[in-house]
Amino acid sequence: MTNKEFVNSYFDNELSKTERLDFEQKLQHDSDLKEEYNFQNDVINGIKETRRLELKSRLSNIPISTPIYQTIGFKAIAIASISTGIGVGVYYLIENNSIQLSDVDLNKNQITLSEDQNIPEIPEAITPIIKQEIKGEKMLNSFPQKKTNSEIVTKNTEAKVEPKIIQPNVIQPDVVETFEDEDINSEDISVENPVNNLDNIKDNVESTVEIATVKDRRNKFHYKFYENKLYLLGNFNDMPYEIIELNSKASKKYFLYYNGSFYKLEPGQEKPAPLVKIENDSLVNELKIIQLNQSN
Amino acid sequence: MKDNEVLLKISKGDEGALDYLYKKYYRMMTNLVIRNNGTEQEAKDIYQDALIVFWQKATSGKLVLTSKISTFIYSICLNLWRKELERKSRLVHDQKDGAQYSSHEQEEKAKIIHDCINSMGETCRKILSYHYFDGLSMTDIAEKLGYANTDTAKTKKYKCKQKLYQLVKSKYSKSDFLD
Repeated sequence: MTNKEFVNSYFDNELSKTERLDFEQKLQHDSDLKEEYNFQNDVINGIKETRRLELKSRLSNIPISTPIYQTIGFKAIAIASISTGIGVGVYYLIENNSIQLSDVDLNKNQITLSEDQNIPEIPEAITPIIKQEIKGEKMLNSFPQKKTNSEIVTKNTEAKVEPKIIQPNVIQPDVVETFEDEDINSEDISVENPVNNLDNIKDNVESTVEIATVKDRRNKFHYKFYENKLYLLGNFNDMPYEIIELNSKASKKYFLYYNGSFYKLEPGQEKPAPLVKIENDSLVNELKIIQLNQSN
Repeated sequence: MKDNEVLLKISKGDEGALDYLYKKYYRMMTNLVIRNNGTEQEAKDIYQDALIVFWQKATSGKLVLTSKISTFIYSICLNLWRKELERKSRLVHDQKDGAQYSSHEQEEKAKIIHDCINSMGETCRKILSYHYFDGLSMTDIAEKLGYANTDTAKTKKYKCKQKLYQLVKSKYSKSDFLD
């Protein structure tokens, strides 16, 4: 093998372990080999640098538009909804009867649910939910409910902030309860094979609440829920944040994760309220576990 | 697009997915630098470099994502910007630079190599870039460039590299820094 071939094989990882060691030893003493090595090394580094510059100029040519509204580009909402419930290993899939909002009565604040019926899309409002089931073994398994699911949701939306859109006034807890009542009586409930569902745990799911960030002079680090939409007031566009949604039978709970801390979000908060950091260590740990499960 | 879709596309060397990420996180990442005493241009530079680091890791299959892509890129930006700030402060504090001469020669060589690469055909350039920079597998390269099989791509890569070596050597010998 010539020096050229020897060095070439070295750079292309074609040498065996002993050959590699042999090569590295020779390199210390053999000046011709060293020269060839330096040469090929320079060329390969040149290839890398040329490619790097090519990618850089590619990126430089991409036009960046300045949004009129603040774009929520980095909203990563992790919504973990955990319904109370479940005996280990037995659970029911509700996917076949997936809940759809079919009728919203604004006056009564009431929602009627129907099965097997798709609703027309309500702009900027509620998105259909895809559910995955898991065993609720670690969470709340002492509740003798029949349904459990833990949805892990990640949503990347780029919704514009349009606070003036009129939306149906949806009371979420009603949705869940009504649904469960129907679910209990339904004949369609099927027992799913646990293995398949477990595989799907971490699939991404659409979130059920809309989120908007609003830059506000008065409210620097506040939030409010208004017409089923969560508004984060302040400068939230510079750092990633996560919203964790916990769905239980009785209610929904929301938490914000931002810059290393968790904050509680009260769904009934219609007036801007300051975000208060959660200091309760056990709650923080629980939230971290949920977050970890989501990101894995 | 969701994170795992983006990652899958990038791991196959899909540059469109890179463009997508670039636009998506532009404001967030550049603001990070601007808020920390960086100019708009520095911010853009750092962000592009960070994204290319991410690209290289993802295409070479070395990346195991344990967080969101945005979080990951954000931390690369942060690191790069810290390094850049350190570099700048070093430049201010010690002006003397003994390695001037050899770095000049190195630059000269780098320029020759760069010119040689750019004078090659597109296929050669691509195959070498994909292999040495992106770290794509020969299978992925064969697929991307429409070769019948991996072996064809391997042969092509070998030939391109030999051609490049020849080119560079002939240019080197014309330059005065090598005797």
